[in-house]
Amino acid sequence: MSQLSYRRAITQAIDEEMARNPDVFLIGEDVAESGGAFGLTRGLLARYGDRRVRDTPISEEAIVGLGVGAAALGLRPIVEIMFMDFMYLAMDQIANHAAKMRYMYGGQVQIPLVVRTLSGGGFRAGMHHSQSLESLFGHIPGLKVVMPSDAYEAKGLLKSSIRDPNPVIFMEQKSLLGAKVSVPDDEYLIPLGLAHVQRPGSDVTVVAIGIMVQHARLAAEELFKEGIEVEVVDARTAMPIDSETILASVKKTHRLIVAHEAPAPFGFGAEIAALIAEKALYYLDAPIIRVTSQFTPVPVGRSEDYILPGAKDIVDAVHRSLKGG
Amino acid sequence: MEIRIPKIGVEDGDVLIQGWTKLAGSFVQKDEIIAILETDKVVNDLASPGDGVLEIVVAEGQRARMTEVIGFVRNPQQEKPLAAPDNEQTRRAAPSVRRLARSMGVELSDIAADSAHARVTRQDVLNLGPKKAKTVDPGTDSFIRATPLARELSRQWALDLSTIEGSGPDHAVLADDVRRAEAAAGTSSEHQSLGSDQRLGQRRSLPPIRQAIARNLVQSLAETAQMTLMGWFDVGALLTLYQALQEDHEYLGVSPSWSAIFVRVLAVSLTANPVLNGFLTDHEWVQWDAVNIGLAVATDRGLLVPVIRQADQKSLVAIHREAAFLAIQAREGRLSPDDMNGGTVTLSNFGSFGGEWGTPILHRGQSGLLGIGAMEKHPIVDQDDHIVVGYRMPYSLTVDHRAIDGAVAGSFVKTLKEMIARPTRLM
Repeated sequence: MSQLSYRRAITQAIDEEMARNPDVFLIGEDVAESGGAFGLTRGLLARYGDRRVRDTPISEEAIVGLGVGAAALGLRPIVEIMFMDFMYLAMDQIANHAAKMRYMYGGQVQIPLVVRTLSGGGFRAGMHHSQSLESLFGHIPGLKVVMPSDAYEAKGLLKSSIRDPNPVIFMEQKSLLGAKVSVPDDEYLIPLGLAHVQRPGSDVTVVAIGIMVQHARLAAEELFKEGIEVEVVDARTAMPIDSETILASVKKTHRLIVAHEAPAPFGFGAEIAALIAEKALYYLDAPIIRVTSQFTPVPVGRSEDYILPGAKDIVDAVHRSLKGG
Repeated sequence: MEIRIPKIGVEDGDVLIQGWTKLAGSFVQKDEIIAILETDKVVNDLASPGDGVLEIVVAEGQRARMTEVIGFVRNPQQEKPLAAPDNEQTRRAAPSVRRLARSMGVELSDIAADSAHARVTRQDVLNLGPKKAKTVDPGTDSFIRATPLARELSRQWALDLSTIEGSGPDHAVLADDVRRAEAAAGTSSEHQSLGSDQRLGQRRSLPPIRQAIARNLVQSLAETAQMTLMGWFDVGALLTLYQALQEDHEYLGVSPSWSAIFVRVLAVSLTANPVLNGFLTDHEWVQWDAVNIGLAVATDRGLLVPVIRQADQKSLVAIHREAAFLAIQAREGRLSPDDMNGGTVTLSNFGSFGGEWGTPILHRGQSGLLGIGAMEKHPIVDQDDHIVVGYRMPYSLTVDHRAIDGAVAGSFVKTLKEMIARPTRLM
């Protein structure tokens, strides 16, 4: 075991997969020479050369389109989109092509494409550099959407994403890049589509995704001092949803809070709430509460702090839930 | 225009709004079906009282009393919006506020008028109302706030939610409140000891229809002195008729069932010998002119007894058609109270389940019930001392012994046997 940052976990995962399979290559804006805007791909150009690690012009649609074409012909591209906000520019390639081609060609073509992108707030970088768009992509049949909550998760999930035969949107949590956790030295994989009970508890279930898993853990530690046992479920993937793990937890605790950084309307939390309403309504002993950001673009600078959710919001939600809402 | 719960059914008590078939805010026309109501016995359609826009006051799944206002049909041209129902006419308030007030036992007229807001608000009611919204008058309680889990537990443990103190917001009942109530009631969870002898079992609450059946049967036994005569009907001649009817199926369009045949047997017997066609009150005997035969129908929800009216004046084929229709209505839960009221004597055919004899319990307000069992072959010694195949059917005739002596009951059995021996009398 060694302490590894989220940033280096990403680098290691790409490194290991490139070493393992010569079909894996990396393209994106500033991924090669400068080692990435956030230093996530540092050292890879020197190791694998400029045929497999390439800088591209600033054209998201072209980069993803190149990835889709390469994937259709059997390669395993990793495309980096510097900020998730820029993915709107590549939407046609992702939604109309990457997601549909396997269906379109009756399974004869696969698109083993990974689109890595940096998502979420925490950098006070304003409304064009701070969004979490998992629900947009989770709504499109054919895509998987991964949101790792720490370095261990990031490494295992990215390696699985690169090996997955389908297009994966991999959302790296900007504000977690420096956070270190213990990671095994040996190789490991985390399968896509299995949620993880981070912390068992009997009183309230908090299903969290991405950065919110960290907030949920902090909240759970706080609440434990009050004698409240919170079960923290890391959803890991916004799509597919591991309904089995989530249902089992809610059937045990009878109370549900869903936490995600994106705004509430039509979001991941709404989807989980619908799942519970459909499959476990009679187990609920309190209204479902969503902890999310405000329904507004993420503002520039310090005002970001006022709209993004945090551990305190989860603590408050748990208290409310225990009182019956 | 108000939508009120009509007076339906003979039972007192409230009515479940099983569903609104029109959306709130949609335009409805007079006499169009807008809701389905369920009492403990029947399911009824509710027609719109007029043309206009539907406003719903009492939501689906909630209960309301007879004649209670459960919604409005607003006609913008004829009616001022939100006119109060006449029983609470004095103050204006939104339906939800009105309902809250009623559930809290607050009279809207007691709330001081605020000149700025002519309408009573939710807060006004809460300010005036007793601290505890529930339990004021369980008889008129409306929706009980409870979590789904609390509801489920109270159902499993057969606890009345309306009697449980809620600790949640606005006194919502939470699962822990139900658990406390259940602990206080001295029953324990799920597979529980139901007696001091450590028997294990489960409690579950009865659906309203089963409660009504139970109540009626116990009252029938408590109010009358029931006696059952048992014996055999020789049905050889009837069988010949039955077979002839089956063969003539194409012309008749139907194949009358044994039940239909016996409804007719009972009807003509009661015409010839009406001793059972009435009932005894405390002080007097009431003799009915009409011969209305109740026909017991087994359904998933319990035994229902729709009535074939003036069966003495209807042909076998007509009786069969009516019986078949009523049986379907019964099984689908769509009998109206009128379909089940007014029977004078009842027929119960337990032969279809392979039964022989029983001691059937009288329908309340009646003095006779004929039960028939499954037909069987038996050996008969004929006039020439030959043994031939005969056909017989076991019968059980329950009468109210308070009014009907054994000899009188016997005379009615004799009448029945005469009719059965001469099926031409059924025509």
